[in-house]
Amino acid sequence: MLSVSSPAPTPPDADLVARALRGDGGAYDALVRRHYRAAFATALGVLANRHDAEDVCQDAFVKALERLEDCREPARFMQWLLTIVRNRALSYRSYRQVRETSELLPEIAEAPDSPSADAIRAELGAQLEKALATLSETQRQVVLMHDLEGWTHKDIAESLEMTEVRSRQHLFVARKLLRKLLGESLMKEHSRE
Amino acid sequence: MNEERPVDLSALDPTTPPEAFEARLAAIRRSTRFALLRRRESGNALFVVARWRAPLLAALFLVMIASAVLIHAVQGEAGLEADQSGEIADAVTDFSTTDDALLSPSTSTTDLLLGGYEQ
Repeated sequence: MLSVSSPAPTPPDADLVARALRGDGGAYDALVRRHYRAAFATALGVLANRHDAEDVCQDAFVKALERLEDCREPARFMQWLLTIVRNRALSYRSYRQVRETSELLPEIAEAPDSPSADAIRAELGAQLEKALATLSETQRQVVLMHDLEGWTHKDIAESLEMTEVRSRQHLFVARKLLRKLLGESLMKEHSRE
Repeated sequence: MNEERPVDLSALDPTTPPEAFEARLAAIRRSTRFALLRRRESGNALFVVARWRAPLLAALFLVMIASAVLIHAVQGEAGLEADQSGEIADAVTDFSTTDDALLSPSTSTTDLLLGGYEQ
């Protein structure tokens, strides 16, 4: 008899938060993996700089663990985390604080990667970064959350405290501006919506 | 419409390349290890006792002082009562003076009642 093996069910955020509160490193690791891209998109939306956004993300995840008791609704861990990320990114942008995790950069830079792929990726990333920097903060956040993280307009509207219609409008304008700056090369062939 | 097509932002995806992402996760892991250790220890009964040892010792010290004061006060009252009862017992059992006074012809009733016979 054939048995269909279903993938292991992913534990909900609330369970992982409860385990992390008891000091379970694996549970917190899972939370970081699950929400890193959303955190990065949020930080990049505010800072418009990849390296700063990565630093803020790392810092925010460390702070989030230290203040995990403050997460009163563990099921809504991501929303709580993104508030921390956004606040820290705003603070970073305003004051350019000393990077607490600056010692991590050399190790990351040494991570092995194919030279050609790395070069292409770096070039594309630089172009995107430059183009994104010309958008308003809200447009940047909406387009990053939607096109990088894959959020729905409902999720974006809830996170950024706006209506779904406004989210759609921001996305429309952001894509139009990016297309104008980047050309058609970086526009995906298939529509998601 | 062109604006309906998503922008390919994959070059900004922080989870690629995987090696760099794993290095970032490892860095976060290192930065959070003490916080996780503290959380593990906070669930330990010995840690709870250790954390509360200073307030417990202070409370114990106060209880000891209060107990000492209370015991001292109780002992003082008990000693006073013992002295008073001793005097009464002495007075009741010491009949020799009274006998002498009764036998003396010069002792009046008033002397006996007021104890003037002792003078």
